[in-house]
Amino acid sequence: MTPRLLGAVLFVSAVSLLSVGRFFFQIADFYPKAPSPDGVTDFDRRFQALRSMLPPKGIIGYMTDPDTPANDTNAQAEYYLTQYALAPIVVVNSPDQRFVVGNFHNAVTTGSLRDRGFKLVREFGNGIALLENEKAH
Amino acid sequence: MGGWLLLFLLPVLGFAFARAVWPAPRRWSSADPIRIAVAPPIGFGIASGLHFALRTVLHLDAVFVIGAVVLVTACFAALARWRTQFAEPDAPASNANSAPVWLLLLCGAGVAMAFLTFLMLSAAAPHGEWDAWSIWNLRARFLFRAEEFVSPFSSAMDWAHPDYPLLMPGLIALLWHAAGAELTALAASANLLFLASAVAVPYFTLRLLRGSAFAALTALAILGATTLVRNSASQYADVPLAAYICIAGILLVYRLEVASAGFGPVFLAGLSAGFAAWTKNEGLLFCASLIIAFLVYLTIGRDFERRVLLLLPLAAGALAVLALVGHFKFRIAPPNDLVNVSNSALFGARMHDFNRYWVIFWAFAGEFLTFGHILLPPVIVFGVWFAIVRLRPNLTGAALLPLAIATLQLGGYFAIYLLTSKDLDWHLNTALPRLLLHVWPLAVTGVFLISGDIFAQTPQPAATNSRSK
Repeated sequence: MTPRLLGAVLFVSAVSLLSVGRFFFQIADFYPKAPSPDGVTDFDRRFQALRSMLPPKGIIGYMTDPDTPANDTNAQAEYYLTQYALAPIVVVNSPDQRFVVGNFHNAVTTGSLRDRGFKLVREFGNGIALLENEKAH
Repeated sequence: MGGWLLLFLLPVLGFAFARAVWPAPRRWSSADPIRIAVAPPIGFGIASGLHFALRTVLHLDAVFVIGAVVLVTACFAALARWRTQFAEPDAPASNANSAPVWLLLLCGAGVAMAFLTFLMLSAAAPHGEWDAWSIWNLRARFLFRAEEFVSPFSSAMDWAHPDYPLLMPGLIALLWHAAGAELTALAASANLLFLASAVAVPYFTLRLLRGSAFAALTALAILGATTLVRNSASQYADVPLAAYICIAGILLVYRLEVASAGFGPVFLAGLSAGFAAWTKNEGLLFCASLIIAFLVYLTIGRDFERRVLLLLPLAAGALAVLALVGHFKFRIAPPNDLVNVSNSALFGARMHDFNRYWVIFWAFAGEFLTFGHILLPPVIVFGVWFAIVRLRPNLTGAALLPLAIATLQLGGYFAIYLLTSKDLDWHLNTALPRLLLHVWPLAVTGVFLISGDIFAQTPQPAATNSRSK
């Protein structure tokens, strides 16, 4: 093999190996700092008690803090994660169902909920609550 | 424990199936590493198909699905053993081009680092990333937890793309049924096996067709696109799709270069194309790309009458799975969100909007330069490579097939972007890097299939030598 051909082989293998190596060291650096348990596992656990009291199928509503912007990515992720946690119940991103999952980050009083037509069925801690929409009867 | 046993059994099923449809003349054949490399995706695909047919369609208990998997494995193992006695040589004479030890060591180091990276990423995000828990593993949970199979395909969950096919959710749900619990490590392991196949199939095939040096370079170059490992650990369906695309394209080339291998590799290629369509909607486009590229190859090549017969096993393999996909698409799933809000007038308007062509072209061009987080843009890396190494002097149409298929697939993606009803910029930014990943292992294999034979230990033909100087 001529030096030029050897150079071509070395070039391709070096670029590839250095790419793999750079990524490996980036992840090795990040890994010890990664939260444990991870965010999804943590989020999932918050809903365990609620899931155990839901029926095996059906549809449930969802609401979060009233001042959350409509296109907030974190809020969207939390809605998807709520669906992930509560499957096979279908969670619709609307409070217009008889029963509604509340996922709140700010303090909410039962009075303010009652003013909006919701009765607290049960609170599960960490901002999770099961509400009944009295207008949806 | 049951889940891990099933995870081990499914590659055994895949190997037995591969040996049954593509028999080997001996107990151990030099083509068996290819069969072992394709075994996990093939076994996973068959198991997912059985899960869909028996559990989702016929509503049988999961224990019947697991029983069917065991039974089918035993049947194919017996068939494979019986067919050994009638098998033709399934591999070419061993390729004398051996790899330098340092190249094999570099390849081994790359594989080891990629493996460790996968483990760290999986441990940090055991449920996968966004698409995993909002689409693929979410539907696996529905299939595992549900007593009925309407909810995951409900239009109330249109954000979760209920029309997406079920290979990954069905496979993960089946593994969880066998385990009796939702073990995230099972989902991660299945994804790791898909990743391993996407590297091992090109490696072992090129080892037979072009020698172990090209095989090592191919494996290393595929892993160089680090988004492959990242996507796999994220438990997205893009790497399984890339594995099926790679298997289908490469097995087709293998059969065209090793005529004695019979119809088996072509049937497996068709089956893999079908499984690609059962993994993601883009797999349907791949079936079309594969068939069109193969038809063009048949038309311009010699021996048309003899080679056209290969269409039969290719179509048979694909149709066996496409029947499942068709049942899912037409009887269960809602229409695809890319087309259901469009109509022909809107399609026409988008096709005549030349600004869209321009935007999509530049997005593709930009992605070609930054793809995969490779240290240098792959177009530059392979440009330098071909400038020095040149093409094989005796280049055949078969060797060009992988790049032709990849080009057609990318052309199809371009057309889909042109017609999509979604916001074009958003769609390009979120999906394009993953779309290129689908064809990456196949395209890299194609690059090294057509490269000049620089590792040949026998004297080169004059044409090659003069080009290499």
